[in-house]
Amino acid sequence: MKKIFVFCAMLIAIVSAAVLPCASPAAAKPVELTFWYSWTDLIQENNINLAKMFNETRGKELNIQVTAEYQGTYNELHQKLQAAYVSGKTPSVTVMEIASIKRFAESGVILPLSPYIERDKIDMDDFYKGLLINCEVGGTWFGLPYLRSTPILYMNTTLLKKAGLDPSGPKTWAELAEYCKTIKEKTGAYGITLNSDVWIFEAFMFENGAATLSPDESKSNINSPESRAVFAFFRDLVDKGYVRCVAGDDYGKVAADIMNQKTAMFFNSTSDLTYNFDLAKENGYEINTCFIPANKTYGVPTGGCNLVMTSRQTDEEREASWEFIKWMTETKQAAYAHAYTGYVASRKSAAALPEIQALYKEKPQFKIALDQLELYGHGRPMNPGYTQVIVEWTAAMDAIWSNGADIDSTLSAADAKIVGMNMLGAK
Amino acid sequence: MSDFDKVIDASKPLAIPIPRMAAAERFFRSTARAATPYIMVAPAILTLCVFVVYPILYMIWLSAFRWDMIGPKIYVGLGNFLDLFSNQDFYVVMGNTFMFVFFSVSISIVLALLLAIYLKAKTKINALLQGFVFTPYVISMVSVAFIWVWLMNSEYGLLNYMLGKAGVSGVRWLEDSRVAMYSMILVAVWKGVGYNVIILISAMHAIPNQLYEAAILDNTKPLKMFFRITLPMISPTLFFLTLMNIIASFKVFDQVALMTRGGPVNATNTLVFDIYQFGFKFYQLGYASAEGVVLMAVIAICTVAYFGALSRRVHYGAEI
Repeated sequence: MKKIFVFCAMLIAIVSAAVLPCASPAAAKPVELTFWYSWTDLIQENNINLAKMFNETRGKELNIQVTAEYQGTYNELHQKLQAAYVSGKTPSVTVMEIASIKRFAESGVILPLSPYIERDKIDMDDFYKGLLINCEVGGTWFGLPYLRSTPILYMNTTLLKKAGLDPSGPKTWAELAEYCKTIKEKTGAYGITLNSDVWIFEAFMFENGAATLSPDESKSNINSPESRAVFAFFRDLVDKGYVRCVAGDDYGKVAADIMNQKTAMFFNSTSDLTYNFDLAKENGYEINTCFIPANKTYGVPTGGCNLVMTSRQTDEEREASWEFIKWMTETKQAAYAHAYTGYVASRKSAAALPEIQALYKEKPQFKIALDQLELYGHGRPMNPGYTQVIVEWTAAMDAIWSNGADIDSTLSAADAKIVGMNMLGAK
Repeated sequence: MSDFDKVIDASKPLAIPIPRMAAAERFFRSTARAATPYIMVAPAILTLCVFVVYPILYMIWLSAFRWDMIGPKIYVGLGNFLDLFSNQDFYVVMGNTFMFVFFSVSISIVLALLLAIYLKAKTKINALLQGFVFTPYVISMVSVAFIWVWLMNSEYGLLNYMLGKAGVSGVRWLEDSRVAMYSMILVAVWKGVGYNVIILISAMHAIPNQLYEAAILDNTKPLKMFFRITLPMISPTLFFLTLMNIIASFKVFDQVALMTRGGPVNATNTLVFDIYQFGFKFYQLGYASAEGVVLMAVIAICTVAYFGALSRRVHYGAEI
């Protein structure tokens, strides 16, 4: 008797479980999107928070649900995107390092955004001009500026004051050299700890009135007088013991010097502004930022990533992806990402918001990057072969700055290799 | 010939009647019998084909194309190999790889042999020491790389701190292009030697004790005992171990990627890391495949040469 009762109860449970969902009013299935991003810590939190906010507001209205997925560094993300494209399962929206956009645009992995931008009348003039250079391939928009940065000069003002220097920072290369000398002599710390980072080198090239590649990106300027001047300037400071150069593009070794106050100044992305403030607080020193000191002129590359949409999607998914990109780059969200991480405000209207203006009053360092961008921001080379040139450039920095190699012979050999292997030519 | 022998006279067929079968059935049975072993090994062969043979053939095929993974494949014939052999860096990379293989394997094997002799006696302290020596082998390369990068940091590293106490000024372990490769070899030996030690100890324990007893009766000197008994008896193990070490060292990648990324100035760039760089950083899959083909050929040649040179000297089996 008992058994029959249990059996009946189970039968009812199973049948009702199977039938009930069908009986309830059918809610339309939301469009599900995946969003890939790079980097951890504050940047990761920012990405997760924004995706969550989207799901709770605009996403809820339009019935779109976004899942944010971490994919390592930019390079790792690009690799995975390639593999995903080959296997036919790409994310809907992804961040993309600005110099790589051309490659993916030309091969059809990502879609032009121009039709959507025109249709929804996005005010492109509201974005800072320097940021838009790497959003465009052949006159068509392929991305919108998202987490964008420039390099700036960070200074440990506690050490600067100890050395009797003006904590607002050096303005020219001559002053920079003077600062390094005084810091070393007065405090024993290095003036600068420098790693072999091409992105920073691009800034030095702009300041000498050149760029790492020729305007049509078919030749490298590694063996140009401007490049040699940069190599020689820092080599001299290294030889005198005022500057420490660490081999490789790994920023970790520089970070160790910063934390231990073994260096007074370092070049780094504005994206680490908030992080560096926290670090300074924990380790008991103060920091300030300023423009990268000028030589012939000021000048910096921009960096970071844009938001792009992949091509292998249905029309419905494309529409949803565009809504997500549009929302992510709106004024309010641009301001949120800016304040949360230190990446520059991508829109003029974002920088003009009262809460951001209040932030600038409290921490003027956030504004410096923006001014530098507005006045002196450049794009980055987009030739796919540039990644290979970067490796040569890094090797040259390692050789000259931290291994005492001869400048002229190293650079002419590097140039010969870049030309000989046709790194920048058509592949 | 006894009666018993008559019963099981092997020279005559057994007089058991075999039931007659239809021709079709006989055919089926014999085919099934012949096919059984192939069916049995089919899963293994299939796995091998899908995961080993096919990728190798695909790599060889790919080496004749220029391809960036997403664009069209452009046929270039031997173009990638010509590019490869006209690239000076390739010879630097080859030199680095051979240097890494030669030093890391030879140091590791000799050191393992010495440690094995020292630690082979079955005592409690030796069991503990064997554990210590073996530990690095168990730790993931990622952890090992990070630990050593910090130990070898020229400003804050423990190695330089201790050298400083001893009056030697800062060595730039991983930043000086003349030193970096030796630092890499040091780490590789530290990580790999434990495995070799354990294998060699077990080989030494397998040597019959009578040989040593006989030698002792003859008043043989310990050194002579080592060269005349121990070494020949463990030679098959040693032969195998060295070969495995050589192949593994040729394929070094994780250590390079984590510790130096091939730098400074290409000083620690090895073949597999270079393949990765060309394939997944520069997106030149054809060039990377050509390099892969070269790596395969080099390992094959080295293995054959190694067999040719040493396999006759290996002493298999003890005739007591």
